Amino acid sequence: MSFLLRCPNCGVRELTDFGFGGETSSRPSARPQSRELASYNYFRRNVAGRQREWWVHRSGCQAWFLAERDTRTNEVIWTALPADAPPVRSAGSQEGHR
Amino acid sequence: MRFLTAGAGARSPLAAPLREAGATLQTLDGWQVATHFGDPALERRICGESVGWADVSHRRKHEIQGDPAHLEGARPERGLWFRLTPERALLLDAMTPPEATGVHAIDITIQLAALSLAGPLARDLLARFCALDLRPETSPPGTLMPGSVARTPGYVLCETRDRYLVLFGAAYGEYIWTVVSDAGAHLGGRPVGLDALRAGELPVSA
Repeated sequence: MSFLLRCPNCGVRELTDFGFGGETSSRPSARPQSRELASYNYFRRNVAGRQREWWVHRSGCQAWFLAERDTRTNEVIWTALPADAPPVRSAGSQEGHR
Repeated sequence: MRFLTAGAGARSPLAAPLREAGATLQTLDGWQVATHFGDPALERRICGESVGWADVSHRRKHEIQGDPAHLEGARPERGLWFRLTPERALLLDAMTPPEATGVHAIDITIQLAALSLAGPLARDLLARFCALDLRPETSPPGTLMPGSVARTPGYVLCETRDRYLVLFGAAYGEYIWTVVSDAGAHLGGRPVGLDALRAGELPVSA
């Protein structure tokens, strides 16, 4: 797999500059039940389509940022720092925390 | 003020390969630096015709961290200032860090080694181990590019059209020296000392 990604701070870089942080997910409550914690730790939506996910510019500014990527084509629709990310559009794509 | 003496000084992360390459070391600003490799005239010619690389790890580096609202206000009058993220900036060549409310300065001079690549083939040399887009239209002089340098985290600063400053982790010093030497040898380049670079006369603008 190879494609370009735009770091919100540094600009366009090759994919090998980055680390993948997985799809976004919602943190469980302050005192989660085992089932809720297991779901947070181990279960992923793994969608075939547009997915909001975490990336880190490991070889550059080392900042974590969000990206929306089509997992079928690897087209990256947008990247943004968490504070600048567009609002979540659908119920299946939730804002995450890291 | 700069002091050039023959006394002991802080050692560069590249001290071992410099010595192996036959460098003449002197102490500059408290650091052992390679002033030449036996033939300063040849080294100057190399920098004019192909590419030379020189250890400039002694150049002062500070990382400035703080609230985005306060960070730009901490920008000092002297030194090269580069905003890395909304909360972090890199300050080069400033002997003293800025003192301002809401920001913290960390001296990272010993954490980042530095090589200066000088000559008309400097960009060709960089292209052999670095995928950053350094074309003049996208990276004019004064541009700092954070990114992968020989697959390690680093920074490349375009100082002039024919001169680049490469910053990388000190622990990777000997590895990067080997990579640059191997790649540069194919371009007719060689290591050069500070005498050939005429350090301190660079018209860099940030």
